[in-house]
Amino acid sequence: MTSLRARVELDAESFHLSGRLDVDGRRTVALLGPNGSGKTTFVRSLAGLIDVPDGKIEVDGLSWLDRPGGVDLPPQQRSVGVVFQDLSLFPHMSAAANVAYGLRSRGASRHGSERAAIAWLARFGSEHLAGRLARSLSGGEAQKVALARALILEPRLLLLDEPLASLDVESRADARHFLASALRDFEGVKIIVTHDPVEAFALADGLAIMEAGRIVQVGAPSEIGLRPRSRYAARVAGVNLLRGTLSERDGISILTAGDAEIVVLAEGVPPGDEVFATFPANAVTLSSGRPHGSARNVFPVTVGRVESEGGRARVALRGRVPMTAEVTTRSVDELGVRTGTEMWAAIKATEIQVYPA
Amino acid sequence: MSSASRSRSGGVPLDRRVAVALSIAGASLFVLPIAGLLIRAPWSRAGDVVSDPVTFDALRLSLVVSFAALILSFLIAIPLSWLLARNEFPGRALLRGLVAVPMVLPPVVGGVALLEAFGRRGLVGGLLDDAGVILSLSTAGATVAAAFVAAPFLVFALEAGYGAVDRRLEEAAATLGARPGRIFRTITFPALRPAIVAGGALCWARAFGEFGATITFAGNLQGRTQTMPLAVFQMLQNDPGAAVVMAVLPLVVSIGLLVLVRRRLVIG
Repeated sequence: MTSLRARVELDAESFHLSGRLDVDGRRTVALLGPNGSGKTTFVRSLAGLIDVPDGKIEVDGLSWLDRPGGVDLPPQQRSVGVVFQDLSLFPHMSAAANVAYGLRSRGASRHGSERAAIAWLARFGSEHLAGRLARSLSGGEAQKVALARALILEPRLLLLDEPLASLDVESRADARHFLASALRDFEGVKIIVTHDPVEAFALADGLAIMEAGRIVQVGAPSEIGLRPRSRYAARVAGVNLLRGTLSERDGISILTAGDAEIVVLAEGVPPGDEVFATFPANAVTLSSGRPHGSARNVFPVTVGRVESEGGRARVALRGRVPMTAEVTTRSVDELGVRTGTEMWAAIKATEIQVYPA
Repeated sequence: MSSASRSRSGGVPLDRRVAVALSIAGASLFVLPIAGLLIRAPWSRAGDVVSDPVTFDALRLSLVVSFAALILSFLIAIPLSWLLARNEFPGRALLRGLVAVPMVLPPVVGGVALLEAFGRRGLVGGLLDDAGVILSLSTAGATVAAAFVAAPFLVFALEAGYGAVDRRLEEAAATLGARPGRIFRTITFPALRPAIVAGGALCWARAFGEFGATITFAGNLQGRTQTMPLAVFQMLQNDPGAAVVMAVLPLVVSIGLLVLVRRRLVIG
């Protein structure tokens, strides 16, 4: 049974890393988080490239790390394949020699490893690259060589650190497609580090959200989309997130977040609890004057950044309840929505999802 | 528009002319002495000088001592440069400073210091004596003196070379199962090669030209410690004409080496 159980505690340069991640089966988990949140540090610790003073790593029931005291296998003895952010191909060797390197390091014959390497390159349609020096490969070519190099030893754990970051925008979509199909065939646990939600949703069947050195939420993409537990996860899912306390007044549920009170429908969540509340950006209605409609949640706001794309605009709003609204570009023009404009924002109570924090 | 075209040529035209003139004046400092040597040498006496056993001994000894010093320097520099480049430890800056001392010390002073340490009456000279190692007035002593002044060049060249080695490649090799020895052989060493060639050439040249520390520490014995520079210096006092002809020999050897490693130096 393929599995990874990892708990890692270490002090990095600017933060304390505290990561816990359990993966069962041949799944692909995307480790998603903003730049500098500790994603790379976490996967480097799994590969044994960083000293971990406190933690446990177990892969397929085999202990790689158990500290303090006990086990700490060096990278050479961990069955791990790594595709590094800059790919880190050996520039002075041919593509085939790069792919064969792992087998050669484990004592295989030059001839046999070379043949196996070319077979792996052929699997990715890249056997014609075999004799080329790694430093002369294009980004897309190098990516395939790097993946073949990491997979040839059939590791139990495959780590990909921003595998598409070194590619230009045009080749990225092709490379993402190739990567998705290559990963499907691989038997072990796969972890992909990325800060790009599109990449995460395309390549992974599980998400782990990392923020400020902590893995804050793990789950299926749909689950994180419905119930994000951090501002970053909410932004990834494209919804607004509030955190506050629930209370009841005259049979109406009220969420108190900061100094704002918001009317919500809280079915099954008892009052007095710390809760999260989400509402999609397109559930926010903007108007110039105070609206008189049925929406009870009406707040004065100041328009921040406005980003239009394909007939829709995302409008950042500042106020007692900071949020993002998604409206048509037509209403942006009609209402005169511009940075600095004072407006009113309304949210329908029925659009707000509430769940325990 | 005109300012853009000027900046492309590296400055205003007048500046460049001044720079060229100054460069020619400066280069003549290097070129004129060599020309003087070649023009003023009494070439008719070349046969006598070259066939003189003193010349032959000195040239042979210069090559033996300089290459032995190069090997000794590598033995010192490989671990020392690794220690300085790849490890954090208290006193690293101090160690680096100590290694640099022979580079800034007048070589004669270095020779005196070597005597006080390794001479027969020196700090550890007695111990060496008991072990059967006699450095004063021996070829081994001349080698030690040459390595003393030349090895720091290699240490610092290699230390800088380590800085150009991509650590991430070494990590990638480790995740592929390569043990430290294999990582060094297949990843680190190829990346260090330009520094090894450039540093080695610099180190050898310094050892080949060594004079002060050698004559002070090892003495000036024909066939044992009298290298080319010492022989030329001695000949200059007895027979200046012959000394000039003799001086052409190390010039040829040095330029030969320079041509041999030139491409590496440029690339490295």
